[in-house]
Amino acid sequence: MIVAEPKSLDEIEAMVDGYDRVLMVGCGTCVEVCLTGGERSVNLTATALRLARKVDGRDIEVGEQTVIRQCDFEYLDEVKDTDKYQAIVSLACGVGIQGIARKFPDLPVFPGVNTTFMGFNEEYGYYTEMCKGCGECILHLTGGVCPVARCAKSLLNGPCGGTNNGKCEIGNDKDCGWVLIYNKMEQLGTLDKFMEINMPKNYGKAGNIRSMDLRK
Amino acid sequence: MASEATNVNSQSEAFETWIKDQPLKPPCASACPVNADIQSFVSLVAQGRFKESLEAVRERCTLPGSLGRICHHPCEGECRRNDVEGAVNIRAIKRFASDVCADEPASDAVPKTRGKRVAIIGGGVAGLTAAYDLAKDGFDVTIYEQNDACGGAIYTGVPKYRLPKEVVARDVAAIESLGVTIKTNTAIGRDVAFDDLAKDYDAVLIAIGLTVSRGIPIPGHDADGVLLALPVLKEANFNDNAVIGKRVVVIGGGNVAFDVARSAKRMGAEEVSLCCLECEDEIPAFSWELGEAREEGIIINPSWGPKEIRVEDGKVSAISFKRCSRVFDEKGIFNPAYDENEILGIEADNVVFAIGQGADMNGFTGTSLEVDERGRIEWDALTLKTNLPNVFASGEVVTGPGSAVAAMRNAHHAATAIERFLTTGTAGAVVVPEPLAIGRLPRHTVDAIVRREKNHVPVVDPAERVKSFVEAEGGFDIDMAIYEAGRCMNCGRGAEIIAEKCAACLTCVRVCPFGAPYITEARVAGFNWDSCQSCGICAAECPGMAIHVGFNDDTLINERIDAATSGIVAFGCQLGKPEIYNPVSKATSAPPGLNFVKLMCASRLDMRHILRAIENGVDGVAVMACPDDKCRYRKGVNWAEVRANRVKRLLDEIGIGGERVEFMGSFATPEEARQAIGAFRAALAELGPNPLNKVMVK
Repeated sequence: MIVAEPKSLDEIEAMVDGYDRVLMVGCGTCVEVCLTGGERSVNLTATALRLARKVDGRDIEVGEQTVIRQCDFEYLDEVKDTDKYQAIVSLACGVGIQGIARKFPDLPVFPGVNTTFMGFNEEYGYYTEMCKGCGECILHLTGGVCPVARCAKSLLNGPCGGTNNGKCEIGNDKDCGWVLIYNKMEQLGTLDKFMEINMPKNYGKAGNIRSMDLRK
Repeated sequence: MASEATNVNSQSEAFETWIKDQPLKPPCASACPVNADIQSFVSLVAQGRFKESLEAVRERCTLPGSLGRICHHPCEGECRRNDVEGAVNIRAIKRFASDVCADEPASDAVPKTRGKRVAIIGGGVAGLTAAYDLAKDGFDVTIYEQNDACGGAIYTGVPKYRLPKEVVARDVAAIESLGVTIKTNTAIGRDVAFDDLAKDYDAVLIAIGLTVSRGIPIPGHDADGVLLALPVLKEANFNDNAVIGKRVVVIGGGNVAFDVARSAKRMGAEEVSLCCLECEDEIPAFSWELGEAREEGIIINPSWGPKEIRVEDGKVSAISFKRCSRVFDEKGIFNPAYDENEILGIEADNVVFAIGQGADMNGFTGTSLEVDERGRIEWDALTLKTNLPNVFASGEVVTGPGSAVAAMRNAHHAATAIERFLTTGTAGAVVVPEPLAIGRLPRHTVDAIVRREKNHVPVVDPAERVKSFVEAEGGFDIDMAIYEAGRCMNCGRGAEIIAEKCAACLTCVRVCPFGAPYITEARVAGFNWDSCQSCGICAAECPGMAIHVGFNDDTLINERIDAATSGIVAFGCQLGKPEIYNPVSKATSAPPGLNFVKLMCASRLDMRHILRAIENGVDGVAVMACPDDKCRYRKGVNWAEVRANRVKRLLDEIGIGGERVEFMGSFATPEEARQAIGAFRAALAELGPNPLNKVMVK
């Protein structure tokens, strides 16, 4: 799923500074699952914004709505009463925020969260990055562990000299992705393939303005 | 003073509206013959809200002090805590609620708004219960009682060592205070004519019970020294100098027989034997009666049928029994068989028959009330009606002998029938569906439940208790009652998913200590109520706000939060120390300006609750939580601390200041609590008023 983290209240406050009627819209899919953009987050953020404004001696009306997904126009149809508001704060990932912006072209749309990575839900409230969306998956060559996302240098033939007892030199107790790959391949009995050199990836596939067309 | 924004009504109403749509009920309430809202009154005791608890008891169990002593508590038999370390001591909690409020002023009379009058003949358990219901409904009720006080069997029959008379009087007084007129020493047929009552009142309820003991016409049955159970019990109850022979033989195996035997011991009998037809396993008295009787030295002789009473000089000298080889035949019909070759002889000064009772129908002879060939009232069990259009009957006189709470159940039905008759003009069947209880605790949930050993009430030593009719069983003190009430697991009132809001994110599955949530085939969360303990951890974490907790409803919690707009709001577990949390405790009142919002567990605390209090303008929020080894769930204190810290950070960002939220954890003593609150209050004064609230309240 797409993981996002909350933006600071100060940042949101600054964005909506010129407005006194804003609509806060949550997204009930990825960002809800990672406890950042669901109905609860909308309620807490809206309340916090209201209170912060009150402290400043100014009132703000904050509408609260949450839709199933902000990355589908059909679900965005569920966003109601936008004519009552001067701006929208979206608590979806960057995709959803842009969806809202497209759906309501006349309203300024502000991001309420920072979209961070595609991650795995390890346990309650803890997520790890697993995929960079490189466009050329080589997980079959690396024991199901992605070197692009899980090696700090995205090395295709690792590890580097910074590996240290299974940990990466960047610290933070992060595992060395290449040790994970080695261990997994050993477990699978495919260590012989470990010696094969992985060819350079076509990073063009990870370029910008990508789209996909399955209609044909 | 601590404020309690909710009262029992809001709790009960919320419960009613919520649970009526639920397919499964808690097993205790389901097993209770009157379906008392046991979890509510137990929970109110846990919270120290004793008066409200008592009112919640009384709603269905109309004689709380009495039933708190003598009820055979089928609720406890079904309590799911039996599968952990022992049932919640529900009866003792009920007794506590009644006893602790003994000095509380009586309720106000209920206005007689219905303009209809009801006469109740017999002020026993059934009559009093119907009177309670009908008076509450606004009817003008008069009880006609032949004795000098109401209570019926529990007044004249049940011995004082089990149920002191002043307790019965207290229960009766509470019903009288609703505006019920009680005419004592008034016998039907002697002082008032039944037909006049039927004419003068809009409805009449006959609830005269079974007041005549039966004997058996065996040889010698009419000798001097042969007694009947009820007169013996009456003597024991009302004559402080009552005596009985040194050697007493009681015939019968029911609870009344045991009451007689144990009373005889207290009246001075040295050797008391109880002989009954039934074998040990079939003895109809409650099992604990057998145990307590044996402790008191009473000899129980099962499987013996009375044969002959030996009489010397017109007086009993001994009794012989023949071996009873079976009581019931193959068809299960009472049809005892004997082996006359085996004989038991016991020397006796008194023989007491305690084999059953009948109704005293003398007051109805020659009246328009129809009785069958055996003298029993013609009665419809569904409508509770007699042959007369406005005359109903209830209790043991029509149902036959049973428990006090069973008579109470029948009387509730009778009150419903009368209410319906007086409202619509026609009688109808009173159909009460048997509620379905939720299932047993799954093994993995039993393993996850924190052990809290059962509290027992003190009982006077057998050697001591047989010396007098002083009550043998004690009650809980405040600490014991609150502890015991906290053992209730709130079965069947737990989490419920609002499916359309659920993202199947698994948060509930991951945070639940009991393994209750799961993902259904429909790919939304579901809750296994057999496992759910109503702690509310899941509801406070669910990112979609898709979980409703029946007994920990946000609406109720918010009401309590909104009761305070100044001072400090303190959140904590409802089982917090009574001297700190409990507004009615005589020990220590809560510090002034402190508003407690009790939660099922501190883990139910939602960040939104704290923000709401701050938004309401309070100066600060204190978060308290039981230490982990006292938490009845798991790690409630950790959850409370995490959420308090999250809100602190948010308040810093808002500009209100995280210092306005203080995580306090728990306190060893009330003094410690007061000091912590005092320090917090001083810190808040330093901060100045809540920026959202211009006026700072000292």
